[in-house]
Amino acid sequence: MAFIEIEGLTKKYGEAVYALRSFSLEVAKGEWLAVMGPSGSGKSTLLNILGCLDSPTEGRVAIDGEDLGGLGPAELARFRAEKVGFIFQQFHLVPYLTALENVMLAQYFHSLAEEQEAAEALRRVGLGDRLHHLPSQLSGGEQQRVCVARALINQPNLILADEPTGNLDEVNETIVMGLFTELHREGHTIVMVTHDAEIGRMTERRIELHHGRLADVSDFPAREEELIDNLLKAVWHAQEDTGKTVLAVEALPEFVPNRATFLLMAQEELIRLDGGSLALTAYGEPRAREIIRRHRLAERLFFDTFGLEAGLLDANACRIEHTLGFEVTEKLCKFLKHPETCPHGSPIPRGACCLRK
Amino acid sequence: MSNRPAAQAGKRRSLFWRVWLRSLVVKRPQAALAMGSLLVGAAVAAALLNLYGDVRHKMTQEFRAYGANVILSPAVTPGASSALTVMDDDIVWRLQEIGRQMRGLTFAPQLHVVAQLKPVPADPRLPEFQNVVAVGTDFAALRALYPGWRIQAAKEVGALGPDECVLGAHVAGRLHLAAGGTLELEAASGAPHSTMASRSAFRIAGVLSTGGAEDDRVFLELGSLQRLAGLEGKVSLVELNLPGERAEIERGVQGLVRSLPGVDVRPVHQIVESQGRVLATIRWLAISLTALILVIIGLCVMATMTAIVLERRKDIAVMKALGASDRLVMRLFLSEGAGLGLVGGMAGFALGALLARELARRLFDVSLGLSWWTLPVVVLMSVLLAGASTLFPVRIVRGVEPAVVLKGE
Repeated sequence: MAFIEIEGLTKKYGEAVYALRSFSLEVAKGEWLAVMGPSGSGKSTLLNILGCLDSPTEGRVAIDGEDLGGLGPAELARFRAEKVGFIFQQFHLVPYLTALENVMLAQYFHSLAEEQEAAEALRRVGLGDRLHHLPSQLSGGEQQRVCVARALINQPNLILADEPTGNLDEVNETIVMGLFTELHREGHTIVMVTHDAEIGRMTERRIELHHGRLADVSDFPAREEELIDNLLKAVWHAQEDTGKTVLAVEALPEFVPNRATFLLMAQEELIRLDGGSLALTAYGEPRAREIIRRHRLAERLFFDTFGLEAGLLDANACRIEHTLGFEVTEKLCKFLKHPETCPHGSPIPRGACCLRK
Repeated sequence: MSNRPAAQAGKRRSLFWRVWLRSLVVKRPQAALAMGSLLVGAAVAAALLNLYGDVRHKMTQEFRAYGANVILSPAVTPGASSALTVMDDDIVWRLQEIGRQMRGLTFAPQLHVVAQLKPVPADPRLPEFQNVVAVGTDFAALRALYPGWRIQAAKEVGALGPDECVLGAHVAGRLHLAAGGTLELEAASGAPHSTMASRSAFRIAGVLSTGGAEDDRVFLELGSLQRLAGLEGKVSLVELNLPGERAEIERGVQGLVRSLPGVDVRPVHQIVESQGRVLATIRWLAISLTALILVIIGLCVMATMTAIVLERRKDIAVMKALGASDRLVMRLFLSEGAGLGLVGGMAGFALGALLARELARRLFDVSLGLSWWTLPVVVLMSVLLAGASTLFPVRIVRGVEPAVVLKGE
């Protein structure tokens, strides 16, 4: 049985306005799902229904085996308090309560307000020295982190995030998405609405809504690996160009549009992100070297053997580099007689076969 | 371990009161306006209640100056002679017993006899004698019943001696008598079938002026007139003043009827009803004014609380999104209202008490004693008023839809 079961969900306003139309979906326990789509596609409506803030016109929604349609208003409030954690784009902290009290408020509606537990939740999100600050005294990222702490304080089964980084700058976005990655690793089920494709790439699965209907479902693993390889290449190139192993992130044009993936690579320990600097790790460097080797050997093959023009080498090499396995790469290197540079003059990293030569 | 639920409940209450206090502080202007309105209402109620309570007591005392409100006389039995309507004066002792249980009861027994009054020495220019009604009484007790009587005398006249009298001003004027003079009274025997008359001289201790029938009478000590008229141990009537308002007086009358068989107990309706009307008018005035002011205050508080609730729709939506039930959120706002009522009520009581004192001093020239029973009444009224005024605005909570209020930008 799926953790979230949605069958034939329809939400209609008036006679002709459909926010959701015959929408069906299953979400597994511990899954991180991104809900994407243009404005008015029904993303927030879906989130509100899952969070018991709204009720469907038709259809069935069950969370953790509980049919939400059979619950009355008081039971829905109880369900929200016990099983759902909300994270809003606008933060929606109570402005006259401190960070600590905002988290305790969520505890209060659940059962009891335990100050120490709330303080620990805030320390976990890096706000241990901001407990008694009012929201007006916190930055946007800090406020969103308070929201994350508030959403988690009652150990909810389901975390619903509506554009959690929509109002944040890149630095705070990275911090908050790091928290989400951690939550996912801990096994929380997360349904997140986002407009940002880069943020969406961090999730396990992405669904796209159009006019209230499910338009697309995609998983990332294969494409994610290709992207990581490309970004490792970019880092390698930047290191070659600057002669530095530690790079400033501003010096890497690929960083900003792929910041979430870089964060993921940092989580996977392929790179090290330290403040505003970036470097390959001992684990990421061999992978980067291998992809560079495959790419440049392919270029050399196209140039020397097929006589391909220089301008077409890079694109064609990119197409095949991910398909070349280790043995084929070694054979190719041997075939090309262990070339030392690519046609553009960049050095080709040495392989085991080159050392045996 | 056994204390854990209590500790948890304590922590919940603690956060509740923190949120309650912060909510009021953050909406200081509106909270101050609501509390100020309640303070005014409580002050007015406290002032009027204190004034009414004290005025009622003072009015009751003032009405005593109008004299007796009950008359005791011999019950008329069919066939009895109307010329001899007297009763035994042991009624005095019975009334004294009753007075020990009925605080504030004052009475004056009286014997009324027609007598001939002659000035001493006689004045040939004036009539030889004049028939007057001689009243034998405890004159000090009679003065207590009628404290407004004016007596011209060389010194204060209290109880009369056996050879003293107080003369009505009309009689004194006709016979050219004054305080310090002497007169002679001759009364026919009041004993049945007796034709004897007796005569006695009395010194005029003072001249009484009331503007009423008393100005045509002469007042003697009761025993003196009883001996003069041969009616020892008899009285014609007893004038009483029963304390209290109309209902209490009527209860007192019923008690006298039961305790004094053979005695005709008659309330003086004009006085009793006047007192009742005046006090009822004051009471309804106080109640009406207070009610009107409280209605106005209630509407003001309702408007203010409505504004507070509307301004905090987003907070309400967030609380609901976090799992708060409508009832819990409504309870928070009702507590805010009741809290304002409590503080406003207490502060209003203090202000109202000062106001009452000042009004009593300026309007009635009396010093007002504080009626402490009005404190819990005023505070409770203020809390209930604030709570009732908040009931309508908190219904807005039910209509707040988090999905709508928290949506987007």
